[in-house]
Amino acid sequence: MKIFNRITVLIILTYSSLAFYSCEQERLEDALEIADGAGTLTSYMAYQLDSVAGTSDVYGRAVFWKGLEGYTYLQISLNNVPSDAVYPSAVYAGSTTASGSELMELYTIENTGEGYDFGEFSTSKYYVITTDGFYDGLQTYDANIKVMAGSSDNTIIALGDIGINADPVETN
Amino acid sequence: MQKLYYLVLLTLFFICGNAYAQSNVSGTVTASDGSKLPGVNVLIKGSSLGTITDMDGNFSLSVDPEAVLVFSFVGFNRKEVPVAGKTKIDVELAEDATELTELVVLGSRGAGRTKIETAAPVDVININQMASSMPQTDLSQMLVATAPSFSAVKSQGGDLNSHVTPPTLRGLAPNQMLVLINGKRRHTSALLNASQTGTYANAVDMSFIPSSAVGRVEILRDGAAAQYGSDAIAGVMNIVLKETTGQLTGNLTVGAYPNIGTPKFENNYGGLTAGEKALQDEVPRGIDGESYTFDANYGIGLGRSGYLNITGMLRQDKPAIRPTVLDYARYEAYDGTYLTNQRTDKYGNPIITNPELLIALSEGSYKGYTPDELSTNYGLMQARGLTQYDLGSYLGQPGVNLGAMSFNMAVPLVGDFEFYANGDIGFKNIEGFSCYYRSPSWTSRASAFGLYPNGFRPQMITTQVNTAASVGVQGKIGEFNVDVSNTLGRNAMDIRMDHTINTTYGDQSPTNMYLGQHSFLQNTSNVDVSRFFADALNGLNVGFGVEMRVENYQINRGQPESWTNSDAGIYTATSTDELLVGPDGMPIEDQNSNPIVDGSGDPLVVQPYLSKIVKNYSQGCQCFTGFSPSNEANEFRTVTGAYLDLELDVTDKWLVAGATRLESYLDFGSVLTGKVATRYMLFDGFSIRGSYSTGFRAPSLQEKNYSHTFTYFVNTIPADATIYPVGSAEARVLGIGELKEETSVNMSAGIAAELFDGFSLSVDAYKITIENRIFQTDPFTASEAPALEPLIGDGEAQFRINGGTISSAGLEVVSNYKTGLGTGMLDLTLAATFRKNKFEEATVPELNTNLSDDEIAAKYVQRGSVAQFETGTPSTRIIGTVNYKIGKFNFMVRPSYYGEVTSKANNESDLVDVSSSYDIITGLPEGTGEVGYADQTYSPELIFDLGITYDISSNLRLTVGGNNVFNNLPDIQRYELRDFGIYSNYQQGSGGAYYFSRLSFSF
Repeated sequence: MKIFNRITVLIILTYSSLAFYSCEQERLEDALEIADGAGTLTSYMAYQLDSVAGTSDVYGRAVFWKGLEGYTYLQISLNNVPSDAVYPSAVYAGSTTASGSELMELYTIENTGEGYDFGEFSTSKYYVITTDGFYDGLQTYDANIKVMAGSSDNTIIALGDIGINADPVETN
Repeated sequence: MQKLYYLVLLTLFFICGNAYAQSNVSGTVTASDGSKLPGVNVLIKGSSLGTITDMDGNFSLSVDPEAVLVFSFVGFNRKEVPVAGKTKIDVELAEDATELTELVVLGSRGAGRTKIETAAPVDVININQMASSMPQTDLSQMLVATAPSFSAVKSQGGDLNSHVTPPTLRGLAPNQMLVLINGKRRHTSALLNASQTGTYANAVDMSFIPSSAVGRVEILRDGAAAQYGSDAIAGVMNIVLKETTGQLTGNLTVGAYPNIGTPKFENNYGGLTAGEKALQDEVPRGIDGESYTFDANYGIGLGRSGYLNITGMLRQDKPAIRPTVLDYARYEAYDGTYLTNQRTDKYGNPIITNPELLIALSEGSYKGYTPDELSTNYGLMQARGLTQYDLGSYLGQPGVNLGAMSFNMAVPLVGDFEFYANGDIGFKNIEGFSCYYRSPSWTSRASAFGLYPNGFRPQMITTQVNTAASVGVQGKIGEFNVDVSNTLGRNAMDIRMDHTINTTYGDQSPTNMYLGQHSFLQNTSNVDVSRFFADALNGLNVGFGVEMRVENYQINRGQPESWTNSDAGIYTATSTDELLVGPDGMPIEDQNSNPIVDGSGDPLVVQPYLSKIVKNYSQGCQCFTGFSPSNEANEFRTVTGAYLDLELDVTDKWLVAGATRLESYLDFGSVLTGKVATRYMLFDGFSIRGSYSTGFRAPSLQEKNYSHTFTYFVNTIPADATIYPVGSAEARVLGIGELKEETSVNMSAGIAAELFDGFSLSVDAYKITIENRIFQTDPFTASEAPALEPLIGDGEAQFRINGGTISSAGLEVVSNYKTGLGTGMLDLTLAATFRKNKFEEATVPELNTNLSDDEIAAKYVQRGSVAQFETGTPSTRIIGTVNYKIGKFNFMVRPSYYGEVTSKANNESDLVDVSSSYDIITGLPEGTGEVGYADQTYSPELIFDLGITYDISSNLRLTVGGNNVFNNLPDIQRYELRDFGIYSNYQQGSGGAYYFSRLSFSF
C-alpha cells in the first residue's frame, strides 16, 4: 500500500473516531421544578381543641408544623363536622378565658372526611404563618384558637389554648 | 466501548501493515462498453482466496504463476483467465442480464444450483454490492428494504420491546424462521420479547452481525425443518460471510431525522382532539435520532488458498422521541390531594406537595399566580414552568451504542481438507422508552415525593454481550464430502432501570436499579456427509448427518430493592392497643388520602405484632419489577437429530428432492418431519416447482421458563399480573399442561423463469398451517379460577399455552430486468408479497375455572393477539428498486409500499367523538354514546428511499440519500388507543424522513 493511502486511511479513521467520541448518549433529565418548602414535615406541636359543653360536640386538634423554609403551618382537624358545615376559625390573644383580640383570621373549616364527619380547612389544609421564628417561639405565644358556628353566627363551638396557655398534647 | 474501538483501530492498522508482503498480479475489469466495474469478485480457481475490484475496476492479488483467476459479477458472465506468469491482467466481462446464474446452496445439501433450478424460492440479497447506496446500515433493516416477505419491526418502546428487533418471514413468528451463518445455526437472543406477530418470542438479534461482514444473504422461502431442524417453519435465512482478501474497505455513515414542522397527525378516525393539537405545539421539533456508523473490513490471505476476513463495526443512534401528548384531564399530573397538600406519610405527617399554593396564600400570589390558579393542575404546571409534554410518556427510537467484531476464515489442511471458522463478539447498550410517565397523581406508584416531586419517567437500559464462534473441518474422504463442525453462541443481557423508584422504599429508594440478567447459550455440533452419484439417472446427491445441540437458559435475580417490598407504607405500632391516628388525632390516611377507619368510622386499633399496610404502594421497581429468586431459572436441554437428504436429477430437466429428519428433545420427546420437492424445466429458462413438507418448532427454553411480574394498562389504569412458567404450581392448578411443539404443514408451488433477455421472474404461492401455536393468555384472576386463590391471592396470572391453529397463505413475486441504457446500466427490481394470515381455531383444554368455554377461548387467545397475527402487519408489501449506474455516478430509488394494517382491541370501551368541543384545559372530548371495540385500520403507505453515489476517486466514494425521503408518516392511532404511543408501528415506522451521507473507502 502506498504511503498516501495509509495516510488517507489514518485521516478517515481519525475523523470517524472524533465523530464517535463526541456522541455520548445524553439521558433525559427529571422534572424537579418546585418551590422551596416542599417535603415531609416532622416537627410539630399539637394542642387540644375541646367542644363547648351544651353547644356542640365538635372537638379535635390544632397542630403547628415547622415548615422546611422557616414558615409555620397551622392545621386544624375536627371531629363531628357535618357535611354542610362551614365553621370560621381564628387565633385570639390570651387564653380562652380572656376576651383577647383576634390575632389571625384562619380559614373556614368544612367536612373533608370523604363520607366521615372529619373536618379541616377547606381553602388549604394548612394555614401559613410567615412570621420568622413563630414556631420556635410558639411555647411563649399567648393565644388561643376558637371555632365558630358560622360566618354570621359567632357562637363558639370549639376552642383551646395554645402556646404559653397550654401544654401540647403531643409534640415531636 | 472506547476499548473496543481502539481494538478495531489496532486490528485494522495491524492488518494494513502486514497485508502487502506478497507480490501481486494486478489489472482492470471493464464491461463491454469500456466502463470500469467495481465490486467484481476475483477468485483463484480451486480456492476461496481472492479479492474484489475497487471503484475504478482495479484489482491486485497475490497469486501462484500457474493459477487461474475467476472473474464474476452479478449481471455479467463469469470468466476464467490463466495467470500464466503474467503480472498484469485486464479483463472484459460480457453482460449476462440475469442474476439467475448465481449459485445458491441454501435448501440443498448438494453443490448448489442457480435460482431458476432450485425446487423452492430462494432470494439472494447481495448485501456487499447494495450496501453503499442504502440508507440502512443494520442488516435486518437492509433486508426489510429489499425482501418483501421479510419483516423486522423496530419497536418504539414498551418494556424491553425496543431492545431486540425481531426478524420474521411470511408474517410468522420470529422463532419460526431459522437463521444460519455460513450454514450453521445461529443462537437467539436471551430475551423473550414482544413481536409484531402477536406473540412473545426469542429472536435472533441481527444487529450483532456487521453488515459489512456479509457477502450475501440467502432467504429460503419454504419450510425446511426436515433439512435443518426446529424453527425452519416459515423459512431459513443463511448469512454468507465475506471471504475477500487483500482489500481494506469501510464506511462512515452519518444520518439523522430532520423532524421539522408539525406533522398532520391524520387517521381515519378524526385525528387529534382540539386539546391534543394545541399540546403538540409543546413538542420540540428539530433534528434528532442522529446515527453514526463506522465499519471496516479487511481480509488477508493465509497460506496458498486460505483467508482471514475481519470486520469491525461501531454504531450509535441517538433517541428520536415521537410522543403522544394527552389532554390535561386525560393524563393528569397533579390530583386534588397533591394540589391541596392533603398527603401524609404513614405516621400522618404532612407532605407539602404544593408549596407554591401556601406561599401564594400567605403572600397573595406566587410568580403572579393566584391561589385559585395554583389549586389547579394546569395552574401549578404553569407556575412550575412545566408542560404536558414534559410530564408525558415517551416512545420512539431508543438510544443505542453498538460495537461488534467478526471474522471469517479458512485454512487449507492436508489433502482436500480445510479448517474453517467464523465468529463474532458484540456489545450493545440500549436506553429505551419503556414506561408510562409516573405522574404524581398515581399515588400508589409515584409517591417518593422527595425524589421526584413531579413524577418520573422510568427508562430501561440493557447491556448485551453477544458471542458466537463456529469451527469445523471439511473435505473429502474418498467420494464423500465430510463436514464436522461445532457452533457456540451465547447472548447475555443485563437489565437495568433508571429514573425509577420502588415506591415501598419511599424516598430511600434507589433511583437506578439492576433488575437481573438473562442469558442463553447454545452449542451445536454437526457431522454432515454427502456424496454425489453421477451415474444415478442424471445425478443423485445423498446427504446425511447428525446433530447434537445443548442449550442453557438462565434468569438471574436483580438487586433486592428491585423486587422486594419495604415499609414506606407499613405502620407498626409501638404499644398495644394503639390507635392508628396521626399527630392531628385523626385516622391515618391511605395513599389516596382516605382515612383508615373501622366500620363505625373510628380509627383502627393496631398491635405491635401485626404491621398494618396503610399506604398500598405497588411492589417492586417501577415500571418493570426486578427478577426475583422465584423468577430465577437455570435450565438445560439436549437435542439430538439425524437427517437424510436426497436430490435426484431424474432427467436434465426434472429434479426430485426429499428429506426426513428425526429430532429428539430431552424435555419433551421426539419429532419426525419430512419434505418432498420437485422442479421441472419446461423449457430453457422456465421451470415449475413445488414442495410439501412437515415441520415443527420446539418451544424454546425462554418460552418454557420465563416468568415475571409486570404492569399492564387498560385506559391508562395500571394493574399488575404475573406470567408463570409452564410447570409451575399455578399452571398445574389451573390445568395448563406442558408446552408441546408447534407442528406445521407447508405447501408451495411456483415458477421461475427468464422470459426474455434480461428479464427474470419468479412467482410462488404457499400455504403454511401451524398447529399448537404458542400464545400468551389473558390474565386469570382468583374469582375466575378459585383454585388459584391460595397461590395468587388478589393478583392476576398469565400463562403461555399451545393456543390453537393458525395458517398463512400467500403469493410472492420477484422480477428483475437489467439492461444497458445509454452508457450506463439500468437495473430494475419489483418484488411483492400478498399474504393472508388466519387464526383457524383455539385449542381449549379443560381448565379449573368457572368460565364458559367461549369465555375461556376468548381469554386463552386474546382478540388483540389474533388480530395482530392476522392483520397487524401489512398483508401486501411491494418493493421496487431502480438502480442506474453511469460513469462515476450510481442512482438508486426504492419505492416501498406497505398495505393497510388493522389492530383490534381486547376489550370494549366508550368510544369518543374527537371532533366535539370542550374546555381543553379542564375537559375531555365527549363520547359518541357507543360502547364498542376501538379497532383501527391504518391506511396503506408509500415511501421512497434514495441513494446517490459518486466515486470521488479510486479509493473514495460518497453517497447521500435518505429513507422515506418525502417524510410520509403513518396514521396516528385513534383516540381510544392513543394513551402511550401516537403512531402505528407496523408500517414504515414513526421516525419520518431520515437523511444520511456515507463516505466509503477502498484500498
